[in-house]
Formats: sequence, C-alpha cells, structure tokens
Amino acid sequence: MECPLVLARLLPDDVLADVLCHVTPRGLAVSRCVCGAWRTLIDDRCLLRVDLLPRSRAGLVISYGGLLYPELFVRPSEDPYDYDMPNSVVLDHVLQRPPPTLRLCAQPRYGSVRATLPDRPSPGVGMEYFIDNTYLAFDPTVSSHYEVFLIPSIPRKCPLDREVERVGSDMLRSEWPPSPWILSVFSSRTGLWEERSFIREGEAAGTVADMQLDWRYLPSRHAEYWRGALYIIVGTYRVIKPSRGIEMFQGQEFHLGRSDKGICFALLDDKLRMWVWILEESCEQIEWKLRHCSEQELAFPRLSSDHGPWILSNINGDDETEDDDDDDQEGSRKTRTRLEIRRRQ
Amino acid sequence: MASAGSGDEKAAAAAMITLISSDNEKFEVTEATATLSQTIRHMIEDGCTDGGVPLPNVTSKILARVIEYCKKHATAAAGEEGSSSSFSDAAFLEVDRAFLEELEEFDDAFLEVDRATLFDLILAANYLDIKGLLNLTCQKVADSVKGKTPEQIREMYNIVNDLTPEEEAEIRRETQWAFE
Repeated sequence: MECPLVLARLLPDDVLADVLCHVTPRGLAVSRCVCGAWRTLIDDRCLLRVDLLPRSRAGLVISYGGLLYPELFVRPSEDPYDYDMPNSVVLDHVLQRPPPTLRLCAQPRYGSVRATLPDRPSPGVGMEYFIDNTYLAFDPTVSSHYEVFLIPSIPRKCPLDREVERVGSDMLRSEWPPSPWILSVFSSRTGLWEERSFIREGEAAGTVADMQLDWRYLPSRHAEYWRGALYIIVGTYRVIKPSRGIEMFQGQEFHLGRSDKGICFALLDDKLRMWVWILEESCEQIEWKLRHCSEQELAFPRLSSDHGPWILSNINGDDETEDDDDDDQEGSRKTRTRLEIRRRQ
Repeated sequence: MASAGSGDEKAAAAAMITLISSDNEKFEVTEATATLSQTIRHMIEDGCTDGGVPLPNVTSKILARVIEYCKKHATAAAGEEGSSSSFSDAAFLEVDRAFLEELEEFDDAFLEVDRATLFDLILAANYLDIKGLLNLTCQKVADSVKGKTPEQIREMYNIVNDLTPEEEAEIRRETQWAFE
C-alpha cells in the first residue's frame, strides 16, 4: 500500500509552486480552496491571473445585426466604472490591416487589452478574393494563451459586384469547405502565424458556387469557442450545417452562441419569436435539437428584469475614444451610455 | 545498474563523468548525458568533477531513473543535430516526428511510477536543475489535480484542511465559476 503523502510537507514551496504553475487556471482556483498554505502560495506568487478571469456573471452581450461588434452591458456597482468582468471575458476582437491589432475587450476596468500581431500570411493561390474572417480561440480558465484563426469565407454573389467574377471557375466547382483545409493560425504562445491543416469529417456543405447563393453563409461572425473546440458555422473541419427547418426563416439573421448547455443557434423570426437550437454531440453524431421556441412575441426586457439597470460599455462607439482608451479613462467614461432596461409588467 | 557506461562507440569516445548517489553508489555517464543537468554542467565548467560528483540529495534508486531519462533525451538531442544535414526536408521532418513520438512514448512510460517516486523525481530534477524532467514530472502531478474537488485533492495528498468554513466559502465565492 502506498504511504500517505503530505504534498505540502514533501515539496518545498518553490517546488510546489513549480507544480502549481502547470495546473490550469480552473484547477488553481479549486486548489486555493484545498488548504491555507496552498492559497497563500497561489496568491503570493500570483499564479492565478485573477485579472483575466471571470468573477461573476456581471455582463450581458447583445449582438445587433447592424453593428460590427456585440454590445456589452454591465451591471453597475458602487463605482459605476469599477465593475466585475463579464463571464465571457473576451467579447470581441478585430484584426485591422495594417497593422494587424488584436483587441481583447477583456478588462473594462483598465481599458481593453491590446496585442499587436505580426503581419498575417498572404492568402494561398486562388484564395485572393476570399474574405478572411478572424476568430479568436481563448478561454482564460484553461490557459492565458490564445489563438487567432484566419478562416476564409466565400465572397457573396452579387450581380453588381465584379469581385465575384474573379473567383476562378475551377474554384467555383470545388467543394466547400475544402479538405484538407489549410488555415493560418496565430498562437500567442509562439508569437507566430503557422499553417494548420484540417481534414473534414463527413460531407461538404456544397460547392463554392452553391455557397455564394446561400444567404445563410454571409461572411459574418458566427463562431463560438467552447470546451477547446472552435465552432464556426460552415467553417469547422466537421461541417455543422444550420438546423433543419430554418429555411422558412428566409432573411432572418441567426446567431451562434454558447450557454452552459453547449453551443446554441438562435434566431428571432419576423414575429419576434425566439428560436433556440442546442448542438448535441453523442456517439459521433452531431445535430441541432430545438430547445426553445417562444410562443409569442419575445418579452425581451425580461432578460434583465431582476438585475437592471445596466451600463452600456461603448464598444461600437466613436473611434476617437477607442484609440486613446489605454490612458484616457475619463474619455471613455464619457462615451458610456447609461441604459435602463425596465421590468416588463 | 551501477555502471551506466555502454558499448556505444560515440559514448566510449566521449568524456565520462562519475556521479555518486547519497548511498554512495557510483554511476558513470557521458558528459552529454550529465550536462542535461545545469547543476552538473556548472560543476564541469568549474572543473570540480574530478573524483566524481557527489549528489547527497539523490538516492541511487532515483539517480538511476534520472540517468535513464537523461540518456534518452541526450541521445534524441544528438540525433536531431546529426540528422539535419543528411536528409531532405521531408525526410528530416519524418525522422523528426518519429523521434518525438518515440520520446513521448518513453516519457509516458517513464512516468508510470508511484507518487512517492514521482515526488522524489521532482526533487531530484529541481536539485539537479533538469528543466525537461522537472516540467514532465510537475505536469504529471498537476494533471492529477485536474477535474478534482478540493476534498478529493486533500484526500489524494493527505492534506489537512485548515481553512475555516467562512474562509472556504469566501474563496468559493471569489471564483464561483471554477466550482460550477
């Protein structure tokens, strides 16, 4: 029988700290609860980057069709500008050209975190007219490192748009997404862009020409990062098509999101009814299950009825304040709008 | 087990270092193997390895395992250096991958030890300053904590909980998401 071990006594603090350095942030948060010595060690050496981690569900993210980024609403505390971070730490990112800058709206308290990425690799042959969308894969409870995926989407077919004509006919006939799919991925761990090959499991979504005509595949952000996998509508190496039956919602915009149940697919129909499907994965099967359909017009304000008012953190605000938000807290404070969401009677 | 020397021509040609465990057992290893340890590397640089390197903190049982690790990883490092010029890129990548896979398999098998040995290996890696071995062994312990509750961790490592219920509640509240 193995002798009982006392880890704290067997390993000197420095060595125990080495061990704890290898524990994920989630594991570290749990380890703080093990005993006083562990908590002191983790806190004194700042092993857990609490500044990057969610503390409570204090925010609400709403995507609007007309706005580039989702808006963040935060719950006011005593100091309205000293609030906890939302559960979803990273709200959005943008890769500008040039220079490519990754904007992580991670710390409203200190302004957003900026990271400058090296020049992105040039697109492959035949892919020049495809639009590269950037997707951030970051879960600070797992690692403080992140990856940025450049995923090309098909330029939309539009009679007035000559760009589309430049996509070669061979390309139009080819399967989408291709297999293998070589994607450019930036890793904050290495600080470099690398090419990563993805092999598609299962059938393609269609040909490039088919996809150009399909309104569902507009090049916009439809992605979520959950449990180590990046889910992208027509974009993962396993193609997950939108749920069946949504053809009847022609023209309605859908959103991909996540909840504690997993990846969800939601849309608001023209009668303001909300439909939510959850992605169920079991035994190699992957399918959307309809979980919710509000029978009547959505009581939208109910979302926050018990917790309002909320402060709008002006992510889509004017560029001037965005540019100087690192130092000029006063400037960005002024742009925040107070928004009251009233209880629906 | 006491003699770590081998019939390998390269090894025989290289300078040999004698390591002496806490229980006075002598191990003869190549310089390439020994210098995976920064501690020993510095001793060699300072010219104080004549008559053997005493390692009073490491038992023969653990030193034998540490040397096993160093030999494998020193060989892999030498192989990588040697092969880079003699293969085409593709062939080199293939060899590289095979090396890495073999090394990973070795590491996995190497870690199949009881917890007391694992802790002794961590202490030895720390004392001898062998980065790769320290990372490997620390990761193994870190992995054992993954997905466990504080109660399970305490039980596993026989740790007495000296936090008051209030303190514990406070810690849980601070990082509620980790306990969901």
